[in-house]
Amino acid sequence: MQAVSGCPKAEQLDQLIRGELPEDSSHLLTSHLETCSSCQATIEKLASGEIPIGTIVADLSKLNPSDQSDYWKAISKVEEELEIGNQQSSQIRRATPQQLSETSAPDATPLPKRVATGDLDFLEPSDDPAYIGKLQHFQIARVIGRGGMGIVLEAFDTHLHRNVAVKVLNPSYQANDVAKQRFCREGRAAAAISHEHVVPMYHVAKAQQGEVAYLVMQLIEGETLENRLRSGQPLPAREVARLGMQIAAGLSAAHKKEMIHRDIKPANIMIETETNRVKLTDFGLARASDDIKLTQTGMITGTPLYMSPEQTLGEATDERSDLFSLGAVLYEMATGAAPFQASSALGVMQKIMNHTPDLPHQVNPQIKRPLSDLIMSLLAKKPDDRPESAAAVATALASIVNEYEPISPLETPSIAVSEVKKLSGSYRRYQRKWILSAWIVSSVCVLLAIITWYALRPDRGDNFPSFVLEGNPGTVWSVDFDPTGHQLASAIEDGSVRIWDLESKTLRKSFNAHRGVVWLVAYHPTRPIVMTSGDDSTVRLWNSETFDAVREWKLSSAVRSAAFSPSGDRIAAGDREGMIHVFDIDSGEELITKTQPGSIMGIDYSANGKLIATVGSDKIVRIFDAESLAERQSLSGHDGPIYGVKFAPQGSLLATVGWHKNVRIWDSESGIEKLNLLGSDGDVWGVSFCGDGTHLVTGEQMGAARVWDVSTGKAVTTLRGHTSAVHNVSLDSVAHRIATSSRDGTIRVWDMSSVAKNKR
Amino acid sequence: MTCMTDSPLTRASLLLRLRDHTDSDAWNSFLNDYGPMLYRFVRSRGLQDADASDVVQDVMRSVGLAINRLEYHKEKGGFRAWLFAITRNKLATHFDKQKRHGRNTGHPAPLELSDREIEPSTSMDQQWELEHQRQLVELAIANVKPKIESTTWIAFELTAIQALAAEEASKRTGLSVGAVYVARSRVTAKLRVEIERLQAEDVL
Repeated sequence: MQAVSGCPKAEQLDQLIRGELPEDSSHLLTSHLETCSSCQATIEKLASGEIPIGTIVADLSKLNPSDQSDYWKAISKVEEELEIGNQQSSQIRRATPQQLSETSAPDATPLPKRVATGDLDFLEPSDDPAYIGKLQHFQIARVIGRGGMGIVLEAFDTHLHRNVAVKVLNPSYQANDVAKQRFCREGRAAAAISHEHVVPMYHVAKAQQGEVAYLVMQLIEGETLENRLRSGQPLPAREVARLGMQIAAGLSAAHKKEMIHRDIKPANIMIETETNRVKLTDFGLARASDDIKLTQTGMITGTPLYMSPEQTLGEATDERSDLFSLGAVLYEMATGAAPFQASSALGVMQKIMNHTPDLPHQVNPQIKRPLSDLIMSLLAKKPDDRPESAAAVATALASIVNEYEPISPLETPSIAVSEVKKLSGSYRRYQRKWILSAWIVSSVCVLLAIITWYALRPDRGDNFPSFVLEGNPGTVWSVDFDPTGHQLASAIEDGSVRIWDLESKTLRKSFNAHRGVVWLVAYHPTRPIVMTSGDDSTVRLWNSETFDAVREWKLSSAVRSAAFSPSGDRIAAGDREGMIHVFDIDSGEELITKTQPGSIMGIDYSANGKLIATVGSDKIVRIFDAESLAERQSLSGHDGPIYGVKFAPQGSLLATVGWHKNVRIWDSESGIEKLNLLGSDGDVWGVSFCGDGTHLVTGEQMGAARVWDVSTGKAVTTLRGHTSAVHNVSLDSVAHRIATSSRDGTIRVWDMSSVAKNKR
Repeated sequence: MTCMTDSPLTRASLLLRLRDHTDSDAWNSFLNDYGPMLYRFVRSRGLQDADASDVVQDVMRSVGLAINRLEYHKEKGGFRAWLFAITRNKLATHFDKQKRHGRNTGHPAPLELSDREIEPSTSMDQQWELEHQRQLVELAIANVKPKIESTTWIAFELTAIQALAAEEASKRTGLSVGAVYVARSRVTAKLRVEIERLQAEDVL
């Protein structure tokens, strides 16, 4: 293709969106988009069509109930009142918001709005009954947590109209001027740190003539690492490395400002629910509280579990003290237990100074050696033996994370490259592993479009005679002609099966077959039996004359698809949990069963009965030996879930259809993809071969059924009439008729005899 | 019954299942799909968060109590129309109450509210449709996101949802600016297809 001179045509941009341009022109267009604002607008318009997707998407985040909205309480209340479900129903709710630091166990029940607690005396009454009180221009909604240092409140900033967390120095300390000054000073210093892994500090203030000191910071929706570790179980190894990397990155931002945290512990590490990212809080506050504790009792209290040896000795501390604490936190994440435990604080401190804990990779075999070594190097007793900087630790952890799976750019914390110095001490041997390139995810290759865009136009006339069977109470998921071609069975969404007389085009019989959706209906090839399967996890056989139930098999989950063997003595069924079952229809016995990944959406027997093929949510076509269910082939190519599979009536060909226009024909012997049929509109749900295997019929999302010539791979004709997705197609083996069933609640029967004659 | 993951709860089966209050999957699905939409709609009528939440709660409660009486209509939007009627009722009740109790509510907007109340109902209709459209987009996002390669999605999220400049998104993703535009339009196009599918299947 020649270079794009001036702006590309809309058609080319459209192809670019579809990924259907050859690579070189795709590159050209992409770089043209870099600068051409008119094409930038055009491509967006082309992509969104008539629906203003861009505007709507941007609006949604503004308009939906916020995490603090009363909406969530309202929903819980409805669930309670209607006695909905069981404990499962909690998944509707967001995580109960924020526990900032120092919180003990989270309150299972939301606090009542007005809490009569003495320690909130410093609040002024609020004029808005929705709030428990007010502190200057902050309306206080509730108490998030209490700790030794102070109280954390959720508040609404009436000036800036946003929700914030307000941390108030414990009132009993407010009288201590040194503590108050330090509290404010550290708050101001923390405000200077701006990093994605540090809770942003907005404001440091005093109220009531300087009597009450408080800090205002971002409200984080999430939980503390302490909470996550409460079970005493280790976290997955990759998660240890990922969270550790983010903690180290947040620390390095502070250290760059010469700010030491001094109290790194799981309770001070927030994990934001939405992003699953770390936010460090309480920078430097430890020093303020130490002042208080020391002045009050002369002895350090509180948990020393994560203290460094130099802290326990009361010596001067620097950045490397934070690294030791980070090591203790990582150790607990990796093993489920803090490294230095004893029954008393003093005992813990002694262990911190003298004891070397068991190596993490020995305690938890999931932890690999490099991560274990890094943790132990952080726990070195002498500061000089620890890695040199938090930035270096973050980098090392990044390369460990990357060994589990490539790092997403959004997980990558920002650290200036200049800060990444060499690691020291026992960890040094690891340095060749700093793969800085891991930080930069290479730009994604633009999809190679192998085949040029296929225009939908060349369809021939759509005027095949057809009639409509309507009035069904919901989507018709499946249809089948009976072997004589006189009747048609249909499977309906409401659990019923309807039998139509094709001569008179009237409903002959309707009966309740399943509880919930009926997914499939199929006639036995020779006997007067019809099979149905449903959402109620059963497969049933019915007498096709009397419609009495003949047999029923109860599976463990919904059965989307089932097929008779060509000989007619067996059925194969596939369920939502990926189980394949083969039953003998005479004895009712289950002959064999097997589980595959994903859920099964389609299953079929080959014409000679020797193979069974399954398709489903995991995008892979699997071919099994029908006797042993040994896997013969697994065919990949579909780029989304596969909804249907059919073997050709003779030979070894197999057709599959699915998500995003996929229609493919495979050779079941060789496992080779024979044809990729292009030109469908939207997802493809149903597939069937005609009697002699020369044509394929597919049912599509946009309501069309398409007939394909198997020898050329081209669409021959399109049957249009349904107003909604066609889910299933069935071919009459006697007359040249196609039945299509649709979400629009109708069945259409098309007379194709004119094509059949032309062909002969 | 296990959680339905791959086949969407279609409207008819959802409505049938909602009759069973112990079917928490169906109820979660319903509350997730319709709750935010109702909330946005009610807010758009001028209600504050707390009042809007109350009205949503009233609507949901009525749905739970009355669902047995609702017959499934094949025509598109049968359920939606029913839900709209309930919502309008609850809103009217709310405005009545507000009028009666006047200024005791603490919200300084009763005048404005009664103005809104007499707005022609067509605008309510339009708003309802708009919220429905947003609901479709929301569901489409939930369905499409897992199928999209993560860098592509992030480029879309940064530019379309967080409204960042393409240059900024380029910096954060490592994609070129042009590729950010392509990524955004590809996700948009996928969303559009999904929205059309949802509309066609009448899932909501």
